[in-house]
Amino acid sequence: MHLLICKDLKVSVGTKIVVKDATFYVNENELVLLYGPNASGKTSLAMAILGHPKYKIVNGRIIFDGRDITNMSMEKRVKLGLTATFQFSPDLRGITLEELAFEIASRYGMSQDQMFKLIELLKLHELLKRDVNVGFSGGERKRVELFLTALQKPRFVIFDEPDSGVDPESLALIGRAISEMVKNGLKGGLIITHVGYLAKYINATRAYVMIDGTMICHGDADLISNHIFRYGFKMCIKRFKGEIYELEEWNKRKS
Amino acid sequence: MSWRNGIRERAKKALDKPPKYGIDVDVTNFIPKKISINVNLSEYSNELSLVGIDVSEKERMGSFYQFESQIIKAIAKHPGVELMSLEDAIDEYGKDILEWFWNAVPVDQDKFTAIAELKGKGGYFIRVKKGVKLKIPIQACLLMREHGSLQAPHNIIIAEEGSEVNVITGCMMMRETIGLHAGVTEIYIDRKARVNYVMIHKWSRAMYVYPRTGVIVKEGGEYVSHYIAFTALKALQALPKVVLYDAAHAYLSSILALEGDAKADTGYVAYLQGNNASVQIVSRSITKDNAEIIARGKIIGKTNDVKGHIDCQGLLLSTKSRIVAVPQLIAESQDVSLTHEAAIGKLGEEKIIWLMARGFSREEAESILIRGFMSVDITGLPKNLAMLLKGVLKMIAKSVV
Ligand SMILES: Nc1ncnc2c1ncn2[C@@H]1O[C@H](COP(=O)(O)OP(=O)(O)OP(=O)(O)O)[C@@H](O)[C@H]1O
Ligand SMILES: [Mg+2]
Repeated sequence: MHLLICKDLKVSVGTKIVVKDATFYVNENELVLLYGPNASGKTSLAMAILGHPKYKIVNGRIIFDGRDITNMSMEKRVKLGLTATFQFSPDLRGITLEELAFEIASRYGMSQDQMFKLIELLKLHELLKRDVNVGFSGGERKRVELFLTALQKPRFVIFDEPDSGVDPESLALIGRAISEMVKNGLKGGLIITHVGYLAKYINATRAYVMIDGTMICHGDADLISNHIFRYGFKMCIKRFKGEIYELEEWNKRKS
Repeated sequence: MSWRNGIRERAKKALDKPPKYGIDVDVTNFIPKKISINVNLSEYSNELSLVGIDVSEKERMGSFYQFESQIIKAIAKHPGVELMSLEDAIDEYGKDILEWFWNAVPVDQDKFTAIAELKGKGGYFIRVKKGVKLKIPIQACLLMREHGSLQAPHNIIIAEEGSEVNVITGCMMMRETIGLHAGVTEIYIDRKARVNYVMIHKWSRAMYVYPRTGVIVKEGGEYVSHYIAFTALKALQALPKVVLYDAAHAYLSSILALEGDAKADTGYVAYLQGNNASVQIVSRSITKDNAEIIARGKIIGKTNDVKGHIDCQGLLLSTKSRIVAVPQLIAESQDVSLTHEAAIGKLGEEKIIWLMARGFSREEAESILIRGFMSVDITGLPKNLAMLLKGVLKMIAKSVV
């Protein structure tokens, strides 16, 4: 059962086309990786799916939970349980993490026990009394982003580089937090990453590669990950240019 | 009361003297009024809570209520503090009141101080005895509702050596009608004493508001002031003057969230008069509709090792509103450290989007950001006063979007 389907998606910001052609799907109970070089359009894709008003869908459709949400407002999408963790989260001066966390938790009926479990899991005690993200380190920001999103008990999350700049120990924490989210009702996720380290801690099934605004290949998560680490994106472009390619098939054909 | 004649003479000479800042007002249009209704305070408990007044008086060390020019109540719950109307204090102290009468604010400063002396009624007198520390606040409530009314109370707070007092003053115009509020407040903080003063104002579209405040902080004393004004008003001008002697410290904040055609010119002036004195002046200005705020801060460093900082922030919520930040630093000694920062902007769209991704509506997201913007340092306040201030600011942040 497909939880999220994006078909022939084309996205613009201002006058610029930032996603040219993206077709992909995420099944229920599936975590899918999205690779791609800098500026290839991954964050833009994430924002378009979230419904960020700046990112306009020029072409294509987004189907979530069997519903066409292409023209739905961001507020409604979030209400359906669709959200994203941001690659760069903002500073909120004058609002403590604790304050904001309580506000989110109470609106989503997240119990105190569940919340404290997440605080424990992500080792956030020291940050609770501080203003959200103000002076937080890169890794702390990533943990906080995961934490606040987890409090929403989302059904589907686009994780925009949750592993960038995160040390190996914190990476394990983030992996565990995602597993905890699954326990709390997360039905699927798209994980944007450059490194795929997180794959060690979570069970990603498939992966896509986006280059220059286009999804150019797709396949088994391990296979794609290994391929990228071995050959880089260049090989990816060379071999799969122009079409979405099923890597498994390509491999099968080769052997 | 012959001792008062000289003061009155000086006041008379200043009756035409316009305010140094802000727009001028014809004060002769306003006269003190009596209340035309029967007052049952508990009926107003919700409204009064908006300006920090708790009619149940549960967590209050004393209460003072003045409705228009009538004193309804003045009761303290602690033997270490005197709380009464100014008239009663003058009766009791006679000429001795001169020690605290028009010393921190000159009676001939302008027409507003003059009219307060000549026509004003009421005001509270609070005197906290040596060494008495009152963590639970005293509340003072000043209400207006009559058309064309002048309310010009004269308030005096005295904190004797080593004492502490927390005071909430809540002022409100209960109807959409024209009026002038020109309250005088003099605060005398003796050596090592502390006064935390929270003043919350909620007026109406046609109100002229010209409070006049002077504070003297003796050696090692501390003064914390939070001034909050929200909703609409016609014109507001206030520039409390705080004089700090050796090792005295003050934290002075003004938080304004104004709408409609409000015009405000507010801030603080601090004189660092003694060695090691220090001050922080903080302002948070929010404008909606056509509102205009001029946020001032002025520090005059006169002696050695004094420190002062002005932090002036503005937030525009409409294209037609206007904010002007005027921080001013004056060093009259070589050994001063005076700094300022100022910034004016609008709400960050990316922050709103991020909060919306966390499940908030656009309005809620804006209100959270506004709440964050308004937050000032409340660590110097006792817990219940800090909570009260937080609650009021939260309510304002909700109502302003
Ligand atoms: N709001 C915007 N205004 C202008 N250009 C934008 C905007 N958002 C994205 N772009 C441009 O679109 C392109 C794709 O950006 P995007 O952030 O989607 O890349 P990305 O794949 O997430 O990159 P990275 O791996 O570096 O995060 C870039 O050239 C970027 O500058
Ligand atoms: Mg990105």
